[in-house]
Amino acid sequence: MIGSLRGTVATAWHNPSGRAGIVVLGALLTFALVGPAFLPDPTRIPSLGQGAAAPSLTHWLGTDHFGRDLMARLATGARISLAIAMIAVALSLSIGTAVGLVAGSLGGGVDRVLMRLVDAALAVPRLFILLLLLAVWERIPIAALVAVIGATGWFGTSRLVRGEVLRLKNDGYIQAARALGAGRARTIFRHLLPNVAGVILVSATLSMGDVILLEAGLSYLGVGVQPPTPSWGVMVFDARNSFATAPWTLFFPGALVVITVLATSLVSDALRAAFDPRSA
Amino acid sequence: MTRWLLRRLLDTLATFLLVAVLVFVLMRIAPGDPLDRLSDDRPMAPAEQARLRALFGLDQPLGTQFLQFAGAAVRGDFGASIEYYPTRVTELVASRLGPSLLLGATVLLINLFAGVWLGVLQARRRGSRLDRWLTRLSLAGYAAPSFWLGWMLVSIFAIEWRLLPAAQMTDPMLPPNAGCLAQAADVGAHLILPALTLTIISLAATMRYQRSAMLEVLRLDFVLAARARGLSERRVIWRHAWRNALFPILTLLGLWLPVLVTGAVFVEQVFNWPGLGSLTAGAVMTRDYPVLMATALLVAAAVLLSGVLTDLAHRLLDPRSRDQ
Amino acid sequence: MTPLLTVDNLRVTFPRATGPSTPVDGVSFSIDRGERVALVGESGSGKSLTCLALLRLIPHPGVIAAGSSIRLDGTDVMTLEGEALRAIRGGRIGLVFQDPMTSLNPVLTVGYQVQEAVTAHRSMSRAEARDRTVALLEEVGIPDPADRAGAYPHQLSGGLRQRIMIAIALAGEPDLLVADEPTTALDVTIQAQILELLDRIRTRRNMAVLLITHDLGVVAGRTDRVMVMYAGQLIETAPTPRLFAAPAHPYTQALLQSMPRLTGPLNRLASIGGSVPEPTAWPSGCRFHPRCARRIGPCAAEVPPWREAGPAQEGRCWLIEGQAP
Repeated sequence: MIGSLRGTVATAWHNPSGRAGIVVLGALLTFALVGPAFLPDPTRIPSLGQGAAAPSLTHWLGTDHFGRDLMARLATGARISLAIAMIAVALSLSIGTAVGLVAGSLGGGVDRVLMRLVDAALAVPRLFILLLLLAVWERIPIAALVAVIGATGWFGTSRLVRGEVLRLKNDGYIQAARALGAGRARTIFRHLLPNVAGVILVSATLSMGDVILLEAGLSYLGVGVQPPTPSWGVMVFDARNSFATAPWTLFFPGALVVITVLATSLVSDALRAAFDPRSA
Repeated sequence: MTRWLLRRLLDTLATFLLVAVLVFVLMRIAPGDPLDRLSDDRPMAPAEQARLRALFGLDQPLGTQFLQFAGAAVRGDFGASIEYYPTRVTELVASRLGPSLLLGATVLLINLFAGVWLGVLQARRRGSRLDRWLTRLSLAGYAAPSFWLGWMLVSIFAIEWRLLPAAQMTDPMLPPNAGCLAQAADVGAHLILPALTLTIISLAATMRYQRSAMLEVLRLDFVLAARARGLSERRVIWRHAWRNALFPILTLLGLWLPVLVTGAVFVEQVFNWPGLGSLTAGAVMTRDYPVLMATALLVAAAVLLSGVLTDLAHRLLDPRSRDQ
Repeated sequence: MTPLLTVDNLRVTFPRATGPSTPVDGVSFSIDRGERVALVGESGSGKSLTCLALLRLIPHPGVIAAGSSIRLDGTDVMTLEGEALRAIRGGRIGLVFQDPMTSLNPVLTVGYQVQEAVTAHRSMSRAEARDRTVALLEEVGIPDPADRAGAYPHQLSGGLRQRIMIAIALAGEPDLLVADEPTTALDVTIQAQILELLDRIRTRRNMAVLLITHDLGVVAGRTDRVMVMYAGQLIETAPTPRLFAAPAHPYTQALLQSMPRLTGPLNRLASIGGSVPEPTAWPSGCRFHPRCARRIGPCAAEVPPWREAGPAQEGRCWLIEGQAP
């Protein structure tokens, strides 16, 4: 199964859209990891308040209204956005998988209670859950933001995993493994997890994009990443009225979100097509 | 059927009560005090603070607070807004409902026509260059942060080119005695940009869903059989195939509502559209938690109710489930 | 008299990652007006695709290869498009599918589906179309036709559903009725009724019938001529009695031997070993040679030509010692 997972990724690589997505994500990661080392301090405001400068050789993407290098701010923003997305998604997937496995394999009352809770949580759009949690919170630390985003993204995954567990439970080989004396936990980990790996991988790439959009939105509303730490959402908020005077300050942060989220969607599509060719 | 509906409604009500508990708990487990912000400008005397606490019921034990909240909420009363004190939250929400419904319905209609049509087109031309580019384009729209897209469109169409109004729902300069048509045209002009923004970010979901639903149906035998009896392609696609792909589309509408509501928070904020979305965004910025709780509950109710309606429509439209 | 339908060198190809596959590979035959012909072969032999090709209904991404010719009453079906092609589909050639459950649209009433087939080929008033629909339902033996027209497919039995499919195929007054395994999905008792119904309708309307089946038992006494298909090609064609009396091709002989007989002991041993090869890699020479018990020298290397094996009987086998037709 792990072998076929590798095969799936290889198939996704052979899909032109999928490959473009992987390459773009790789480039963004590099930009986020290496960029800040070579660029000016993204938070330092130069003493001369000269206002926004257009893209030039010294500032490739120009500067914002405080004279801060836009590319440096974008790179640090990328670092924060991608880190939040990856950690939060890993967190959601772990919780979702655990809850799904527990609900699906134990069944009965535990299952009913858990799924009723998930139903209730799914009725409130994720943004609203987050707004309720974050609205009265003064100066939200990034770690708390990650934890909160991660803790609100597992409802769908738990449903998926539970469904998969229920389906597999009736499959011959799980029953055979049980009959051969394999313990419950062992059965789950040896047999069920590899089988849900595909579903989880697709949903992971998909929720990466969602979380990046969500974090940008929260930061835009002032309840996400707090200034002066640069984040794409805050950058758009700061530049919202400056299209006429300094269009680059508005254009670049949003465009970078589009590119990032689009890349994750393309990768997710390619993976899904590799798992289920009929959907392509 | 009636029994089924009754049971489904009771079940939904139970879920909704759980949502209410959830909303209350979420609001209260986060660190921070809603009254902190009121004291931003000037230090508040302890007596003043205590008075405000008592005013909003924040001095009671949590259990009592929840019971008060739940009891009042059942009567449709969410207390007073902190930002717009002493206006009742219910009143605020009611005054914002109309514009939100107008915007939402417009976007829904565009999605139903354009999204469905494009999705069907993609399914019919599966694997073609057109199909691939429509997928990429719609995904790019989905990938755009709604607030950024909104500001870009405002900047270009309203500020640079002065083609369309930038904000609000009506032109304050319009004489109040203007005719019905002039007023409608005014609202229509204000509606274009927010509706366009929301459509761009939500169309991808409709298109993909319709495309895959249609692909599922197009490979079924009865589509081939319909062609074999000499029916026109239009009839085969819409009457035979699409009629069967309608059920997944109904399901989609349930899933799609949260996307629209989420987008509306940002887009209404950008365009200052006087709806629930901008009310919510404003409440976040001013930490007006009674308003936040009310809008969250309202949205949850809408999502749950649309789930019931979806199931009901499904049962009414599918002759197989009608007989059960 | 020219035949009603002439098919010449029909080839159907599907693009595959490993190269094109040709599930139908050079099929030629003709059918006269009012003639009853059977096309017999195992599943995977290409017989269903052959009949879909007659209506140009090969599913995506398959195509009918250039050089294939299908002529109906002198009309070149291969060049038709749009309206003219639809006039053939259901209008000149009616098609009955294998599984009536999946071939009927579950969300439309059966009456609606018959009626739209009626109006697809003749313009008429709603009332006329309605009468015509009820008459068709009556013709195929549906009890209470006016009532049953309002039923949805899932409300009818399998036999009734297949009768509806036949009514739909008849709606355009076709000259040729193609029935693709019309009884395979049905209960044994219903099978006989449906075959009888097809016989009766053919006699009354004097249509030509192309019956596609994997079961030679269905063919006897019901058709004038049998064509045997194997691995995308025809390998024998003969008048029905002649085929049963003196099959020329070893494959036909094996098929006949594997047929359960009421008169003798069930002979399962004679069933043919192996299965139909894959259309991506047809065997060289005679395509049956890997499974043939009687193969000789040239079988594996050279494609056998058509030879005359008896009166109006032709086969494609090196063992047949007749003239080229």
